[in-house]
Amino acid sequence: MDENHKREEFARAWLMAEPSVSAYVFASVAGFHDAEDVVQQVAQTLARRFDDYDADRPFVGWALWIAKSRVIDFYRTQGRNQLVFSEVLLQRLADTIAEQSEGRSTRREALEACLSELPKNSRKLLDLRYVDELSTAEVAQAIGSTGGSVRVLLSRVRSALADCIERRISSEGAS
Amino acid sequence: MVDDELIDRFLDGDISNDEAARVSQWLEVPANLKRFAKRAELHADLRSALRRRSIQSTALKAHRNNGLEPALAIAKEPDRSVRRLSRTTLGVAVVSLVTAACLLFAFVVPTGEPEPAVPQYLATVVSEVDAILTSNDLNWRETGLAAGEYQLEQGLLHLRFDGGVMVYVEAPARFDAVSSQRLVLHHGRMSASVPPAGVGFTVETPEADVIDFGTEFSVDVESGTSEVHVFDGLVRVQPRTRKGGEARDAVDLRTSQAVKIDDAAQRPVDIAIARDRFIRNFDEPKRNYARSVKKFSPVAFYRMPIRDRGLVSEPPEYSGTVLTGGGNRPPHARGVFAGGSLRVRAESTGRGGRVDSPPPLGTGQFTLAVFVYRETRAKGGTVATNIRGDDGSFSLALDQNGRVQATIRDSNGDLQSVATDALLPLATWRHVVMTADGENLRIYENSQRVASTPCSTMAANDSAPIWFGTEDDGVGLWDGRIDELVLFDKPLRDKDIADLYQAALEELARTE
Repeated sequence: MDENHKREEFARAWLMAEPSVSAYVFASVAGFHDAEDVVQQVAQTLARRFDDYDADRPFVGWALWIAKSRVIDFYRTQGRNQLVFSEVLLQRLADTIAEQSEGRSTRREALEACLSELPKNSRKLLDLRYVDELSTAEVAQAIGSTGGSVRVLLSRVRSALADCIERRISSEGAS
Repeated sequence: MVDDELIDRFLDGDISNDEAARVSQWLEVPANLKRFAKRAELHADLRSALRRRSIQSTALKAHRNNGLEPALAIAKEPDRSVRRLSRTTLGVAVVSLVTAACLLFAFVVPTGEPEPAVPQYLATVVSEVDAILTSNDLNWRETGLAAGEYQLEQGLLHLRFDGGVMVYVEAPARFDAVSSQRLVLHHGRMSASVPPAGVGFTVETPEADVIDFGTEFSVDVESGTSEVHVFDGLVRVQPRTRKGGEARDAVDLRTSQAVKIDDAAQRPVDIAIARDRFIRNFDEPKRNYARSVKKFSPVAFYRMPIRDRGLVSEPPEYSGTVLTGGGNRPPHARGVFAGGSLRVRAESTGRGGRVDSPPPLGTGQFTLAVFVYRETRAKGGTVATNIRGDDGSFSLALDQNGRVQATIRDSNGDLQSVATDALLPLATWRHVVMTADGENLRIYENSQRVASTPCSTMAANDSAPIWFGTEDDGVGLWDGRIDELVLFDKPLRDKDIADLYQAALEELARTE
């Protein structure tokens, strides 16, 4: 396989695996920027070691295996002596996310549609958290509420979105 | 009991040690782990989808509020509301990062103080050419870029991101440095060269995310449209969701492909790749064409490299000055090969070049070889001349009909000219050579002899300043680019010119 072909193969495989890797890293690393940095490191490692990949096995599994190592490295570089998750749990989480990788792109598309249907206030709350990257306390200050009720409100919006995604997928499946 | 709210707080790092231990134990049950994994996926997808939407909406607002071309509007009167929003977003990003890190520290390591966050540069400034870079309306003169919003008001900037990703930005441009692998280009032009270690480097534009997979590509953002041009490798272009929430498919671009994305079209539209538009390197290649030129022992060779210290000659004693005036873009553009060229007019500040200490031209014989690139159909326009009144001995220019005209002053002091029949094509590099051998004055285009007239030897001259892209009084401006200009005090033969052109073709094949 020449260099260009190899690069294309990698690109295709990574595009498919990236949402699963992101989900995995977001599950194990708190903080958007830290999580996003770890995802980038995973991509770099995968690209560098693509020759080692056994094409007979699912790429997403290999990507998540590398992601697990990068997450552990991240914990260590942060100077922590213990993991957020044990290595065993990190592996089980990787297996679970790999199992759920089917249908992930459909869920992403459904999320886009569900976001457009959200009431204005809910959308504002999400923007403060995910775009402006405010902490719960800062969101509370911005909207004149308390940290506790912001946590509850955010969770309700997320749950509403999760329900909407399930509803859309099952109605598309039925039609 | 572990409910969704507790899972969310766990994922946000907003949780006590006891609660963290409870969640970890709860995750031992496979069904719970599945539920947790789905929730984490939702968090990751929300972050990605909402950030994309925010960038798009900010850009649309800026466009609507100004009611002008964004580039002009921002250069003259920044949209304060939009700028304030962006600054808040970025400022808060840093605060939030520190907060999240502290929360995580708190729950993972119950003892010990968290290390203080050290501000770091996301990218290194490798070099700049005549650049004026501002951030928050203040000049930014650091050796790197911190997270924040930047405006390149003038000149060129060469940045290095993580993994050896090289980014070249051309003024005018407005961009945000978001992380060491991501930047947001609000408007302007940039090119990136991404080695394998930099795979995943992403440029966000108001219309799309451009994700790179080890390649070379350029992005041009203007007036609600983004263009992506891929010169090598593979790039994924993910257009933003259209108004009304209609998702759009991603497109994978390979070598030599280009697309345009705007809100009107359902899919990115294929366009012709623009190899000549973007500056993709500041260095001149040390390869075939230059070596071939040197074989013929030129008296001066102006490779038109991108430098802020003027017009560089080989040998250096014949170097000159780049002249500038009003305009938007730098007085440089992508050259015929990798590297730069001298840009005159064509929306740039370039007004040509002047050499006050010219090489002596005293043998009566002469050759000038150059690559030219016309950007408009404007008639007239000087490529190079040293003629000023009764002084000076040669000129290469477009005549009033837009044809290439070569002129020399002969040994009797009379001006002799010859012009081609055909017009120079637009937006294409053309190799043009004029020769005077004491018997004929000739013009060659792409190695073909296209004009010839009998002409005696050229008058000697060793002191008249040489002007590139302009006449001495600032008129007759070229409208386009000039590159690889070389002067000889001898005539090149047909075969020599064909060899030079062949070397150029080989060089082009290598640099494309």
